[in-house]
Amino acid sequence: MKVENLYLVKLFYGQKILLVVVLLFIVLNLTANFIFRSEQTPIFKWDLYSTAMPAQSSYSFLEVRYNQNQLLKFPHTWQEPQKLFFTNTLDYFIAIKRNNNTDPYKNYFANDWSRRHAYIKKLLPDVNLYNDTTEINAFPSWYKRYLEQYIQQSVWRIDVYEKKVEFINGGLNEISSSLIYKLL
Amino acid sequence: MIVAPLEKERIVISRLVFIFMFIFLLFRFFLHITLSHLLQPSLFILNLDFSYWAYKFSGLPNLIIYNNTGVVLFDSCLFLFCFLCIVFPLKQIFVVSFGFLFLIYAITYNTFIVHHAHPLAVMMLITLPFWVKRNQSWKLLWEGMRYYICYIYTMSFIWKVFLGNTFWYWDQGIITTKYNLVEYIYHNPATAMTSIYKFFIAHPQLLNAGNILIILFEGLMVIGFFTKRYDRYLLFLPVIIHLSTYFFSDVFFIEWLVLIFVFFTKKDFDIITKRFPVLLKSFRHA
Repeated sequence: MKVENLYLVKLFYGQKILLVVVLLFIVLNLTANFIFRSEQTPIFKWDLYSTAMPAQSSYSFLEVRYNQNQLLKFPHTWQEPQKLFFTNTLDYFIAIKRNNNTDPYKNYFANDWSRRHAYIKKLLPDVNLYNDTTEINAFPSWYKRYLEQYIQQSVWRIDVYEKKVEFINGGLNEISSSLIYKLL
Repeated sequence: MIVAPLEKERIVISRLVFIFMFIFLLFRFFLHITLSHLLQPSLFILNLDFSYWAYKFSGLPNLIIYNNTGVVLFDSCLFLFCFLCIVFPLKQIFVVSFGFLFLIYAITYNTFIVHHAHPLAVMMLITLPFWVKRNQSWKLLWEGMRYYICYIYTMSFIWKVFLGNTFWYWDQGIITTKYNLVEYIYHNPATAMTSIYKFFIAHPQLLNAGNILIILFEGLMVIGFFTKRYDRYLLFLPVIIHLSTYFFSDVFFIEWLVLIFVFFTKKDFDIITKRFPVLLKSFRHA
């Protein structure tokens, strides 16, 4: 391979500004991945599923039932990008409730990060970096609206169950099912 | 008018990329996950990520999430500018505007699903080469994008083999499938997909071997750093990787496949332009 055909050499002779941008991106990305092992904003870390997941004897997940015990269901796996709005947000809301109605990030930002970085905190606008009472209290009514949009009918009751199941002989066996929150 | 070969290539690639993005924006629209469908969500997560902090501090959520007019306007602009990029692929103003709008959409989506997810990561980046005016600069950036795509998969391979330990953990395949699909199988016991999943769960060696194979496929992308000779074949690796991880692990990264266009060879373009000459039609001088 001829040296002049190398990508960075072509950039050097053709576009020096681009060369600087590209080199900066490479350095930042490699540093983030290999040294800090953290994300380069806004997302560029490629470590998904790189840590071994421990084997589990049982699996837990939340189940939503609305109105007259109707199940909130996603029949197709390609609905995943939409499903996240129902499952992730609900998981997080339950985590907040279990954390004395406090966003776990509030503990971190208010009690840890802000103290360690008081000089940066002073420079930042007075905007919450975590969910506070307003956001937490608004969640059930948002969930109702979003659910109504999905199922195309009005919702007057939402119950959240925690299911625990296990795989047995290629099938699933329910270990327990408990109502953990009445959202509406 | 005669269009230079490089400009021709740029027009066709731009259109393919933006058509792909438009289709997936429509997909998201019908899934009710474009901003006007979010109905003013309340919970959010910023993490320790300065882009998300800047987004929050800028006050943008108040304009495009909590404002009924703003949110409709945002969605309209997102679709309109993507469409304009297809029609006028050489008009930077449209491309740059769409690039920013898409970045804002992706950050908003991640903020309000309370998880900084990866599915839109490649689409966030792939518009960047089209931001420049000169075709030579575009070509250099597009080539850079090709290297970056190879880097992503190579990096993923390195993480799984050397920094993490997935590659050396035989049961990762079956555990991931069970963990990610347990809810689907429980709620949809009678579907064809559930029967397929049950078969594979009953034969875990297939899933575990498949997991190792996918990691090796990621590692094979390193070839792209040294030669372009195999681009026609490298193109299929991300397709296999993302279809497999989607079917067997419910990891929906199909939107990443916009990246396959970086591996298109001259021969591929000749075939495409011969079949769809409309892709070459330039409205720049209209």
